[in-house]
Amino acid sequence: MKVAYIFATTGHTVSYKLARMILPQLEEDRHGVDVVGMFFFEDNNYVLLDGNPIGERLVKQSQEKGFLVMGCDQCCYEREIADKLFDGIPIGCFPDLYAALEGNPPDQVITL
Amino acid sequence: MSSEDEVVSDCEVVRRTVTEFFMNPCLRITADLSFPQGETQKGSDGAFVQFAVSVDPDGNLIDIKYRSTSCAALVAYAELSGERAIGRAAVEAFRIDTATLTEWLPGVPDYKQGRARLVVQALWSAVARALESRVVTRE
Repeated sequence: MKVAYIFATTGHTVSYKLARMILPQLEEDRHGVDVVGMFFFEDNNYVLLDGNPIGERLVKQSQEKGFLVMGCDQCCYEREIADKLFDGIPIGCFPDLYAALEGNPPDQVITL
Repeated sequence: MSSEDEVVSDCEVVRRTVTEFFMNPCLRITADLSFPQGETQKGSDGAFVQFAVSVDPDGNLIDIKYRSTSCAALVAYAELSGERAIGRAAVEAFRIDTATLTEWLPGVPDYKQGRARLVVQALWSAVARALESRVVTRE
């Protein structure tokens, strides 16, 4: 099964669910599904800031496994970080997300 | 025209960032453009922008409006270019180029700066059309 994650809520979404659950499982090749994309809203975009340690692990996994990582463009502009993300990590809005996933669409979208 | 030049605009909101321009548009309209229009410039992803400008007998840009899709960077570049051009000689609008716009509005990733090119082409097209037709608007 192919899954896309939408990180929509703040709280422990990134620091716990991504960093302590999803990422370790991806790193151990035992997540159980093929991740095809991750999209970040609101403050969750700070994980994509160049140099963020969780972001570094995420980018490494996305490169190794070939899944999309994208930040919400308006969220990033609002936080003035749009041009400060990891190299190769795009920002976009819904049309960009859909276009990016079109060639490898998920079976399920998990909103966290 | 430099970044230090006085900005003449009807917009009373101080706008400096992409978000400030995007959230406080002063020149964007959703209705049809009612005065001389330039060509619609379209991006490969469906984004578009089209300007309409009005020139007074002295050759000054007295009104600028545009319609566009809702991309934040596109709206911000369009607002900024219009804000900088309005009230000035129409020919000065041709000094606003892609490099100028991207310099004026930092914080946009390189791969999104193509939005500035769309805006510049759209603005230039509208100004050229207005100068060609030499439509005069009188108070």
